[in-house]
Amino acid sequence: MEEKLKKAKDKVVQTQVWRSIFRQGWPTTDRNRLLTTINTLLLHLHPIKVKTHALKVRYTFCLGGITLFMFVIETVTGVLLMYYYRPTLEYAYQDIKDLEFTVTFGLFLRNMHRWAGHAMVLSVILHMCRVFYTGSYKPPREFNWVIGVQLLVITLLLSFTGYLLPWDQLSFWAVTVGTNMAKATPILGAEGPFSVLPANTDICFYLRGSEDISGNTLLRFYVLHCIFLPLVASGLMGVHFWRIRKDGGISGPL
Amino acid sequence: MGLKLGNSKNIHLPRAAVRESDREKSAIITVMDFLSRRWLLLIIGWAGFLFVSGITTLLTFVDFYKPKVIFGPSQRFKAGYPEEYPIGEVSTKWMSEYRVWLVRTKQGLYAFLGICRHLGCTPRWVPEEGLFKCPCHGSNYNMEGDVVGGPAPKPLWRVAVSLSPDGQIVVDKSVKEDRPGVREKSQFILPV
Repeated sequence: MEEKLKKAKDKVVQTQVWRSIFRQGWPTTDRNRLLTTINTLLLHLHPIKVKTHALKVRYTFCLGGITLFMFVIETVTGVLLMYYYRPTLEYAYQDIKDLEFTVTFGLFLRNMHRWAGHAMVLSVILHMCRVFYTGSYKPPREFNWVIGVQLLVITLLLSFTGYLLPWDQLSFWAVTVGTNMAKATPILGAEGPFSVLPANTDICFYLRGSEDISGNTLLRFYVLHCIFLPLVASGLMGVHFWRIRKDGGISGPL
Repeated sequence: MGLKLGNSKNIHLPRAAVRESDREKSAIITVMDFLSRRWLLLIIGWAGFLFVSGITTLLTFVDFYKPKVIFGPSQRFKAGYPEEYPIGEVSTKWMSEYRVWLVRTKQGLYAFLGICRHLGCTPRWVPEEGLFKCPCHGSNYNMEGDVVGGPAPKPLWRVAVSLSPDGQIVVDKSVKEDRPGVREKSQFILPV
């Protein structure tokens, strides 16, 4: 019996399919362990060598990792919510109600998306505090700090654009107030200092797609929330993580 | 094995290389060592091309993001006959549909836009206090539309009112005015 099992295993291991997935032998030698790390998409994100201080959780509290995890949750739950949500005046509010009361696990999905969104804003801010207090923004990491600030702005914009989508009283008036502030922008806003543009061409109008919050605004914010901002965030995150490796690995005394 | 260069007069060397001997003499590098006429024209040409194509692309995108037609309720509407509005009262009849208050005083009838001048919420008419009060940040306006409290920087917008041939009031929200002295005159008040 044992003989038969061993024979079967050898047969499987020697197939082309198996060998195309697992390109080196068992990770029993240093060389094979290294090859496994290099040849696997998920493992190759990790450095081959890890400094001892990097294992201290209390130095970073894994706040950047938590933020990434929240972004992944947002992406997965967001895509699922998109199956039932239509960004129009007629359906937006009704579809949220539909999600909450009729869709299987719809309420759970919506709440997950909402709380992970809040948690992401919180963890980004805490991550920034940690980087500041440990002095991890100093050269050669100053470039990555700037990328991080851009990611903070994108996170806040994601949060703001998502706020309008339930299309209830809270979101409507919150975004009314929020976009009205854009009118006070210098030069570009209709009511700001040095204003040159009329109310139907200023930055607030571009943001809303009309003079008041309307169906245009809802659609605009939906596209920004689901397509544009996540793509920009993903690109910046790629650069952010790549820079961590280039600047000497996870934060610690250089 | 040495590289045979041939007759140096027939080779187009960069200007900098040709002037090698000159440079050693003077030890001063001038801009002309790097910027020949050909290079200058090439740089100007490319810079001009990229600038023009960049600006036009940018402007096209800016224009794309501005909607040319906006669908929504009409900015002009008929608001019934002046007799329906008692003197000294603020009518909230058209608020939910058109976001407009009609006020009739002894001087005449005028209309306010129901938009707070602070950050755009909808104030509420409180008859007991004679004030328009905004729920968002507490701006208060009196019956003249002037700010009597809260953070609002400007008085309420007044909009144009007129009479149609059939005797009904016509409110036009696209014509707005908030300057004292102008807002109480001509098209912003209906002497009824």
